Amino acid sequence: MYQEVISGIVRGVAGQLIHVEVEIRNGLPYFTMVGCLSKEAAEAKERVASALRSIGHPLPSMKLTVNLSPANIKKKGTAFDFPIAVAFLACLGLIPGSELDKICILGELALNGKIHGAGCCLPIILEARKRGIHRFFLAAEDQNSLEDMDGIQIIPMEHLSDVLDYFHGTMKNRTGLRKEWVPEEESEDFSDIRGQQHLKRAVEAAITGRHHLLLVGSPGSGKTMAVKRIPTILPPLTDSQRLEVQSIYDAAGISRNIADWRCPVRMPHSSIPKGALIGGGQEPKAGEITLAHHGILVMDELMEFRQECLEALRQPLEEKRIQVNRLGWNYVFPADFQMIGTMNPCPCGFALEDGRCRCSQLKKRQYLRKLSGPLLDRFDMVLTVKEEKEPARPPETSKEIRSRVINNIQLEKERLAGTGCSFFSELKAEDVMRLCRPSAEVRKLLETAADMKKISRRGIHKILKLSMTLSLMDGEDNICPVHVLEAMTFRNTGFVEEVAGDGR
Amino acid sequence: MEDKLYWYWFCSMLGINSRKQHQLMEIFAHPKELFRTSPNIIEEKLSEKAFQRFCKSRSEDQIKRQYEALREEQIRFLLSVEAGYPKRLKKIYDYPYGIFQKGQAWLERELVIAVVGSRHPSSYGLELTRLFAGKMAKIGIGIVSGLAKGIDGAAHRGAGCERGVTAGVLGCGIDRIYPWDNHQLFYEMYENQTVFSEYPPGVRPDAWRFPERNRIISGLSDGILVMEAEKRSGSLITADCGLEQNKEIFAVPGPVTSGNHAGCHGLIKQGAKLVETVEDILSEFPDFTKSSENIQHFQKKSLAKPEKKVYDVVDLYPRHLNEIMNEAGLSFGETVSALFLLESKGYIKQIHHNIYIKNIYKG
Repeated sequence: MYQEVISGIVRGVAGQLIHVEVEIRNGLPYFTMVGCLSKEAAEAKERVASALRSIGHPLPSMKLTVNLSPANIKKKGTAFDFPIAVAFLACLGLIPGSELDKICILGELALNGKIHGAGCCLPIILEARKRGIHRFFLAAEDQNSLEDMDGIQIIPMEHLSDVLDYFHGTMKNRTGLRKEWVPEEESEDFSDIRGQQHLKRAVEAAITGRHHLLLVGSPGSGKTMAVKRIPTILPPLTDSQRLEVQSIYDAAGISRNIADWRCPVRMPHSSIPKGALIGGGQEPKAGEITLAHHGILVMDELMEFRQECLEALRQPLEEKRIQVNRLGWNYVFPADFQMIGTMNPCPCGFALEDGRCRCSQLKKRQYLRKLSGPLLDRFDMVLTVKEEKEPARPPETSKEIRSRVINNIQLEKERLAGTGCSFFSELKAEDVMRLCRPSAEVRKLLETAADMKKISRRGIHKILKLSMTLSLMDGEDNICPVHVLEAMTFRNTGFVEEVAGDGR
Repeated sequence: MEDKLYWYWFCSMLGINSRKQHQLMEIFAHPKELFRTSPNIIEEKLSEKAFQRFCKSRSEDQIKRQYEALREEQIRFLLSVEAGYPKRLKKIYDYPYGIFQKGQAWLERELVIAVVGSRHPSSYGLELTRLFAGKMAKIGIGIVSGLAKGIDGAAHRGAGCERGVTAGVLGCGIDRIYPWDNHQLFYEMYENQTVFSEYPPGVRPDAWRFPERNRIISGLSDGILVMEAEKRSGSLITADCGLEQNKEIFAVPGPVTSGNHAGCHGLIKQGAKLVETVEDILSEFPDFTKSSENIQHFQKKSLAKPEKKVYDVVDLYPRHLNEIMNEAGLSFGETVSALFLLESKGYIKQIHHNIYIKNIYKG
């Protein structure tokens, strides 16, 4: 007797379907499992045998073979217990085997037949959906990390006997058990920051246009304070983005509620090794940049990160994905993130303060050498932050800013319809010129600025992209000279020379 | 052996300071005598280390070789009796018998001013230094300073920009570049200006040498202008040396609230002349005949409304865009436009991104 059941594992951040094959034949009583199994997967043998005995259908004293195919992939985890048990039940003729080829089964078994969650179901479900499988047997525990999706029928089960009930048509309906998810109250708010109009405007523009942002300032100037409050003004994820993010988190084994609509904001510590940042390990796992997919990667104290980490960011920033190579296998992880960095201008941190910096130029150069030209070029916005003494106008709350950001992003999408982008920062150079149609006035201003060496000719596109975001925020259809001027205050590629510069 | 080689041996190979050198010369009158004296006579006159050096260094070959090496490095060794030796320096009581010089020959000017100050100055001090040094150099005043970071460097650069004459005095060996931050300035000085040091090649920049070097800075000049000095600043040592040498002392005031200028204020209290413009310095030297008509005062400028508001807020102390906007009471867009206009006209300077100061050159 032979039976095949579909299950799956997670490789990298994507799911892969696994065929669980079971054969029962005459011979000396013997139970063997093959198919490149890890220790915990091979132990399924004992759990399955006990669980089947507990529901009154013990394994027959025959030669039993289990194979997990494709057999050349290392299989980890305990999600195969349940499919193996179901395959045996079908072999024994207790459930109809013909129906099983359209069902994907995942779950761990307890010795008494109870089904435990296997975690990381979502990537497998999304993969299975692509392959035309729409019905899933999962542990009820796993249901919390899932929701109703188009074209997917999830049948949560608590006990192995539920499978028999299901095919007999006597199983109780368990849907609707899920709890509502409420986001935690955010204790931080943008109104905590007094003054700093320029910084706040920059942050809002960065979020609206999804521009990579680098803040340079003395210790205590409010960089980190502003960065910590960025999550409070982020727009919610769309449904498809949310599933993508959830699937990545499931694969990485990080708990996250599926109803959580907030953009992921990752803030790795500066001591992070390269593998943990971009993804790695013997069996590669998603790194921080993948966890920040559709969200924000905050690099606080950018200069404290290892050089290799910083350089490794160049490719994903450009291609929005990261390729991790292992012998014989390449893993591609999505990494469409917005980078926000903060740093001090020099080792002592006070280069922007008058007469307070005691660093030698050599020290400064050594410090800034980490910030290579190509990396600096990825930042659309680089601005200096200085401590401000006098509080200005009454500050806005995060709520107000967020609603404005959401509105503006919607407008931005409409304006960019047809380009395949949803943010100004993603525009290609040729689209920039076509879309923003700079007026004669703006062109003249750009010329003057380039003559004054305030911008490089190469940087004009970045300035224009930023100007488009700013004009959108001001509710204008076209960019005006003032937007270009403003954009220039947000972008400064020459600060490395300024800080380390001679002649002062 | 030539006369000069004896002097070279005396000044550089014994490693004794100039006071000791003067004492020895009172006894021996010429280093040749000292060279020929037997060690047991000299032993009690010298410290233990100097005596060891005395014993070891009395080889004519070695002296010649070292002296030749100077030429390869394009270093000149000037004796106080030679023509190239700075005239003013010879008048101080503990003048060095020989001085090393690198770069161009020192052109004696009718008036020479030493410009000194803090190594970590504010923008105010830096900008004023460059302005003053530039203006003085333009009307033919020689500028002397110490080639250190901060005010010293700015003084040399200011004078160099106006193609004036400037000399730097080192507190370490003549072949050394210290501080390294100024290395570009050093190369410029070697090219067009003069670098002096009392110390032979290879001497390390020990802290105690700098007060000694300060007496040379003041000795080379007719007046000492202290731009920005804290309460206990090395620049005050230069001013003290200047007083001993009977030079004029000038000091530029700053805000009383910042301690950066406390040293200058102290000097003014003691009778140093308060300097607002270059004219204040020139008036102390009636013999100096150069006309000073093109020296400007700081004036108010006629500007359009928003620019005027912004310009009034911008200061010699750097201010951030945010502060300027708040203080001028303008909107973000207005401020940015005004700043850009002012910058393109050259009225203000952006010293860091979004941090502005007044441009005092645009008078």
